[in-house]
Amino acid sequence: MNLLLRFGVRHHRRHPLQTLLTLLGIAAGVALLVAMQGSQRLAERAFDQALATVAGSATHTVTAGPDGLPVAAFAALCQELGPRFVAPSQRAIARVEGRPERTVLRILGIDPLADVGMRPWSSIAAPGAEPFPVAGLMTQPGTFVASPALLQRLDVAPGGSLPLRIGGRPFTARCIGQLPVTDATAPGLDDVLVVDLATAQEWTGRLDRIDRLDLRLVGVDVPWALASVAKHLGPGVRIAAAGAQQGGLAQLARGFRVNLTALSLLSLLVGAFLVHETMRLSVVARRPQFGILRALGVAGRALGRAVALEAALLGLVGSALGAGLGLLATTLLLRPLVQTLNDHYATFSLPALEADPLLWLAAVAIGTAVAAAAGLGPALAAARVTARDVLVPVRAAGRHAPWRALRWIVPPAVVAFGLLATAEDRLLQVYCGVLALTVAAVAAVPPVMALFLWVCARALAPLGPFVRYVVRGTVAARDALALPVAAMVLAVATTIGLATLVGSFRDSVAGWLGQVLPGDVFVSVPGGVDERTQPFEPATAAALRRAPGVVATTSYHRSVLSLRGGAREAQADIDVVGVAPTERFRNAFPLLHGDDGRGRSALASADEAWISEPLAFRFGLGVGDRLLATTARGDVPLRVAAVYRDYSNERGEVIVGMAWFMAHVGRGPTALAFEFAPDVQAAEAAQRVRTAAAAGEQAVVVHAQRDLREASLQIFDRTFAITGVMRGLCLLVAFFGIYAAFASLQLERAAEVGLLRCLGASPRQIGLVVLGQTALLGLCAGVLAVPLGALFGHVLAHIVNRVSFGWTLVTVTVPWRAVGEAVLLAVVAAVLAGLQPAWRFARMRPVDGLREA
Amino acid sequence: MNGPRQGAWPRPWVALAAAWLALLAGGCDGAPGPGRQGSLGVADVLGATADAAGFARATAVPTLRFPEDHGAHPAFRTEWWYVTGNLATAAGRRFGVQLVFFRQALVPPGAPRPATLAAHEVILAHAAVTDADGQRFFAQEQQARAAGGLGFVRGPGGTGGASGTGGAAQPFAIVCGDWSAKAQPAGDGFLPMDLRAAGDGFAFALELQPGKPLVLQGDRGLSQKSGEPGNASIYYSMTRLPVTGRITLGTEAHVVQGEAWLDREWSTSALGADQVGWDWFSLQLDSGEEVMWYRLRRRDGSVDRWSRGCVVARDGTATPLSVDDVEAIPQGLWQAPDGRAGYPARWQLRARGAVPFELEVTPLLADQELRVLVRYWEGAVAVRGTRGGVPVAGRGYLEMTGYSR
Repeated sequence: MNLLLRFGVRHHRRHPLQTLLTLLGIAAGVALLVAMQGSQRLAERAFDQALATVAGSATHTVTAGPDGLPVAAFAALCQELGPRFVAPSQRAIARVEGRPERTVLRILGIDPLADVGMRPWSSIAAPGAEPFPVAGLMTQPGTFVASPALLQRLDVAPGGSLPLRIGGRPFTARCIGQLPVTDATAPGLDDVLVVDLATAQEWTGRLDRIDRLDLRLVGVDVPWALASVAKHLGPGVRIAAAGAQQGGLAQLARGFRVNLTALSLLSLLVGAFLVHETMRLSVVARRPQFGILRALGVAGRALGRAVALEAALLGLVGSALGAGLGLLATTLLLRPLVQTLNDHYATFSLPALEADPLLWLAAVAIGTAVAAAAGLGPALAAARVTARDVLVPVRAAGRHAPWRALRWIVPPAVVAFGLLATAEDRLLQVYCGVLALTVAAVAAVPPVMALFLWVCARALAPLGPFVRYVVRGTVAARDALALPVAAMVLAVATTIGLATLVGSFRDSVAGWLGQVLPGDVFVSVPGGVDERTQPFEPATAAALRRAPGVVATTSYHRSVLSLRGGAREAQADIDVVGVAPTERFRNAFPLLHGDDGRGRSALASADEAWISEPLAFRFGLGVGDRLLATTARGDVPLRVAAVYRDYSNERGEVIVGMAWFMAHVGRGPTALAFEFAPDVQAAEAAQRVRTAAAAGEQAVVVHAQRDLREASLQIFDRTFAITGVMRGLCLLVAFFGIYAAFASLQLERAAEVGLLRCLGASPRQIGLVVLGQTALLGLCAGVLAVPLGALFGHVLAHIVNRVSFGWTLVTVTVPWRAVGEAVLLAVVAAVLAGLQPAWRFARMRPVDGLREA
Repeated sequence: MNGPRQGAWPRPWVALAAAWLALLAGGCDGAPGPGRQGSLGVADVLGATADAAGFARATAVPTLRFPEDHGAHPAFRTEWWYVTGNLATAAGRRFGVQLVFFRQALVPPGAPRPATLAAHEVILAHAAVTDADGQRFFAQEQQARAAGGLGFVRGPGGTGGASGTGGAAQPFAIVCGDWSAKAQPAGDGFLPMDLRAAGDGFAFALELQPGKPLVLQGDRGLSQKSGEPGNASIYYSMTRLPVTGRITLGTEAHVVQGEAWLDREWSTSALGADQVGWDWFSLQLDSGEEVMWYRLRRRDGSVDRWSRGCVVARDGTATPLSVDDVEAIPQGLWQAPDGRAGYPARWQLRARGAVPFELEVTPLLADQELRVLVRYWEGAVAVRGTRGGVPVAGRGYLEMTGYSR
């Protein structure tokens, strides 16, 4: 082995803790990168599954008029397209007979053979679930399965029967099993009897019809498939893209993943700092040795090469360790998560957690390269050591004027701004932009830190000489500490950015859920094929409104009108919904344009409307434009006051105020969304509305929205739990960074501590000084990390916006709890990292310290 | 596979049939049995009582009439049309193809129901393509109820029954969604036949031509599978049928030709209590002869005495092989990627007596496992060895079931 390298190895062996921590720091960074891949795939699956549960895994739905679709045409479609892409269904409404309260159930006729995979609860091979009684449903007329909760509510056990009235005719339904539902799917099935298509046909008397097709066009030429549908089912059918697959949400998920990767790379930068710090320290510590070697004739370049090689080797070993740790993290942390997901979905197939070997190699290579790059500075420093340096004590670097720091702040910030503003969806550019932003932020740390310490010195001065000494000591060492603190700021900011991103993402999903599932209890009128435009009878609506505990009611009056206008001079039949908005509705509705006082209150005016984003796009409409609606009384103008986000109806939709709607369309409500006080349980609320509905003659369908919304959010939260693992790793990296910083402090301040001891300071006081200083630095890093973290969060969330929605805004929320945790953790980690140096300083013989001076 | 009960068909799909019966049973009593979870195994699903009441049993030598008997026999519970073939492009690129249709009655035929989608039978199908040179294997299953035109068997000649919609004049057709086997109108009601299937990443359209005459297996078509009377099937084979057509993998289309093997079998009853699986060989030798051998395995690892086969001469005459004539020796072990099944990697087949042969059977691709509802291995093989002391080579298909854990 090269002699110089052997010297290096010996140095590291004499400082095993320092070296080990450096290795672990790099390892944590690389582990984060590797674990990210596993968790990303898992998050992706969990996210898809969550979407499928809420919105169904169908990509398109096909419906026809009241007559439904002929079975023969459907069979012809299956013979061309293949049954694996198509799930047919027939729907009906049934009343349970002989019950004191009028119970209305939905009948869902499915083909269990085609439904495998389309609806999670109907899979015949659900792990751990009892087999779905495919053959029983198919061969025994009048049989059904239902969720355990519904069976309990109806007091029917498998094997028992239930008298029903469907379309005025009596039937006896027999239960032959329970749906393998989970808490994720249960709320959506709380009033559904699942039957075979043939049973549904026989109950409804529509013997050769089906109502609806769910298509899952994955792995097939979509335009061809849709053309095939249109060819076989005729031009009258309505083909709609389903919510989940409709660009928006899928892209939101993609943007989220992009940002997770960006954050994991940031965390690797902190690992790079660790290498830099270790190598710098080892160069400082070995200056005498290097000086002697130089005196003996060793070339400076050879020393530099040896140091650079050391850094690369540290990087290699640490990265290899990190790849292993990454697998361990994936396995230990993610597997239980997979188990949880398994428990909550009927079928959750475990994605391969084992990262592929190429990816590992890439992670190791990146880790090594970053470490080697980080070692360049110290290597140059080593190369510049002269024989004379042996005799000269290490001096703190000269102080620069604060304004000089601007050289390193302004240009990178400008570059970052330029890159990010024009990045569109070019990922590499996004990453470069984030990198430039990081450089600017790191460069900004020393002056900001100086300011922070200055403020601290002023504020804490009255607390006495000891505290003053702690603060002043930190101020004196601030140049040496600037880089370690910057690394720590970066690490903590990463966790804050991650929390911000996750919080914003969750809020967007919650907003979407609130829009798709409005109110706590939602009531509509079953109308066979299209439930949406059937109005309530006035008596029923009045009875429903009297349900006890209702805090607010939003009534929806839906109709279809022919609209025309916009830049594209388009014309189409569009859903127009008259809404008497509640406060919550008015304030929470996701307006994209016209989100101001005027836009929000537009529904109160007689000629203004909110239009959905798809309609704005289709017609070429913006805020202030005019639309013409064809009503029974001729063409009526509407002014676009706002544009709102909508993933649920790709044809477009218009929301108008009740004044306009009653004046020009004038029909009763087609749906009612009730809000209850938060202390009313969701099931209780639904039950109250059901009871109220029983007073009227009309059959209505009651949906417990809050349950479904909460269940859906829980699913998303489980998905986000994965990011908790990543946050933990980020903080681990931060901890190593802080430790490295104080290890360096220890070396450089030995002389000062020796002097203090000689002046009479007790070991305990010395220890407290060190801990006080580390706590101060931790606080400094934590506080500085808050704005930077928020900046990262915002930048990344806005990139989500651009990558996902073009110009649509996602709500960006700073999660203050996570911020507080991060700052607290920075202080705690700093104190922990200071323990060992404190102990060492306290034990140090004063003379040893003095000798170094 | 570890559990067991009555009946045996030398086809994987026994398990499938049983799977459906298990689902039926599960639906009837509403309570799941223990251990019936996840993907189904033959033994697990056979654990459900397979009630044969109401179905016909194969108890006597049948009187077969063609083309009518090429069509469905709805009185029996289970029936299949099983095509495997070794094909190649003009440039010599080799492919294996499997397309099998099952007609599975869930309950015996009963009173008709008014709904157009009411069905008491299901049409199941498995399709697979082996790309030997590209070392890829594609397999998929599909199912459709035998109602409303989603799945059906039709013709030829008035045997359509409950699952068919046709009459005597109709040529044969079986349809499972977009997969089908349809006799061409100009033929004898069965052949020539067009085969069509498509799945994830693969599709094929093939034309089967008439070839060697059909061979009645067992005792003039009655193939006894275990000691109990009625535990038998009606079984005949067309051992060499010319095939032409097109195989599409992803976006690349290959014009292919080669030779196929078609098996027809129908029955009602299930595996013997101590039979756990089987290994089934259909080999086409370049001497113009074919070898069929099914080796039923018992729980204790021994070979069941009801194992049978035959050698079909160049002129189509068949010489039966009994369990004493043939020794099939498994060699090596191939583990499924997920570790849930392990199969013999190669085979040696030795026959003594009237038609002696010694053949090495090697898969064109190690992984030709169909990981479907009931997993099994079925794939194209190459054959090399001697027949009556003379060197011989050939192609064929091998099926192995009962190896999953």
